[in-house]
Amino acid sequence: MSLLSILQSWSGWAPFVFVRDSKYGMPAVQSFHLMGLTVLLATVLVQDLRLAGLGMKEYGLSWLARQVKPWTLGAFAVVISSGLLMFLATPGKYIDSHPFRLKIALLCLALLFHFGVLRRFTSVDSPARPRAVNVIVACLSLTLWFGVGWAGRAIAFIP
Amino acid sequence: MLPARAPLRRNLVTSRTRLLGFLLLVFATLLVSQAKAHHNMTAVFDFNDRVTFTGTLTAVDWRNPHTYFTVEVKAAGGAVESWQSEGPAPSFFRIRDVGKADFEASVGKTVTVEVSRARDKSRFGLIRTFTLADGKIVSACPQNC
Amino acid sequence: MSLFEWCQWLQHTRFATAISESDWLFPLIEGSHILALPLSVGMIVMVDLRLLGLAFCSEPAGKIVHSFLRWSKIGFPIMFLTGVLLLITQAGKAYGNTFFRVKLISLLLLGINAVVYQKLFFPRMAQWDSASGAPAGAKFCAGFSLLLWIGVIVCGRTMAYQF
Repeated sequence: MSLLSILQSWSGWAPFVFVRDSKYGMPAVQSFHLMGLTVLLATVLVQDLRLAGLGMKEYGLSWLARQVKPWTLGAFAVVISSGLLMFLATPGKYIDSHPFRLKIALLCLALLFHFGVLRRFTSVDSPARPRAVNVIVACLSLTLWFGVGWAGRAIAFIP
Repeated sequence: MLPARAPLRRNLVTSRTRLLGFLLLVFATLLVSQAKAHHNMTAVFDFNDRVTFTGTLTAVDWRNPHTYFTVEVKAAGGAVESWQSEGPAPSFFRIRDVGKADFEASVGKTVTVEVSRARDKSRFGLIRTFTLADGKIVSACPQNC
Repeated sequence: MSLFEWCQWLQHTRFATAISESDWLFPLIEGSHILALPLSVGMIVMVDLRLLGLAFCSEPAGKIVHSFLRWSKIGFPIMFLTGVLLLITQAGKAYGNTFFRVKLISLLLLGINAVVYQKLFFPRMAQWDSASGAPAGAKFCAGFSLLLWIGVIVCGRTMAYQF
């Protein structure tokens, strides 16, 4: 039993059939995916800009991180559930897609980085860390998250 | 203050380790999966309804996000039917070393196209394979199959 | 020449054709249009959330508006430029597209909403009492903004399915 055949056996479930076969099912789910990523990436952007010292300097770093946290989590829930819905509705289309695999790999890295590294950096207001380190961490965070976005877009253009 | 913090930090490490493990598992599964794509249904095309037609390629619409090809097919009674087929984006073909010029070289010549037919049973389909005039077969699978 | 005919002509110009036929340029423009959303709409969402009293509440509304709007001024030009380029490549097709028309109308309403906010509420923001939050009218503008932006995103995505 390959992974794909297991996934395909689930794709007969009513919500997945609706997403796949109705005229506006897919665009509706994709819209949620876009709304989620708008808020998710905005919260990441705000934190990374502050961390790198490029913007939002009127606010404390840890205050910003605390304020956006529920929105990051909520937006992520929307992105991941809409993504799962699209994936499980047509697993065959995505599982063989190279950009899709890259997207998931980058997503795993982005999550690990966000909850493993960035959280430690944004929990203190004025850390005794060289500015260069903060900038590198902020750049990595943005690269990983926007990398997920670009890989997702590439699915439609690259096999 | 400090003794109260230490146990909390240990819990965080444990749940973070579990998250790490899960993520690495997903990562690894995707990298090693050797699955082949099977047909799937979309709202517009029926992937079970495969039609193959042969005729003269008359138009190539080479654009993003989808390419379109028009083929004039001689039906049984002698009448000429116009079939439209939709293909993936130009970049998809580029990666398979096929360009606009390859398709345009087949204009006015005989081509064979295998499509997943549109659900409304019109003369429209999503390309599965496209055989150019020189015999070269271009596949839109697994993306569109 | 009618507007529709002009749109069709526009779609078939060498410039538009070059973009729509390109392997990489079209995906780059389209990808930038989508991924500039956080830097544009995302910033506006943060502002709307503050006005509605849902986030950043311990900071004065005027300060939040100023900080986030600054960054949206980078995002919106990107959205506009990429949007225009994308439109040019499919002007004739977009003309009759209901979802595209609703998207444009929504953008127009958002512009009007922004001007209304600018004239009526922006000058007095410093006087708002942080405890009681923004006046009802400002909250209405914020809520209206959120709803319309959702509409813009939904229409933007769905228009491709009506071609």
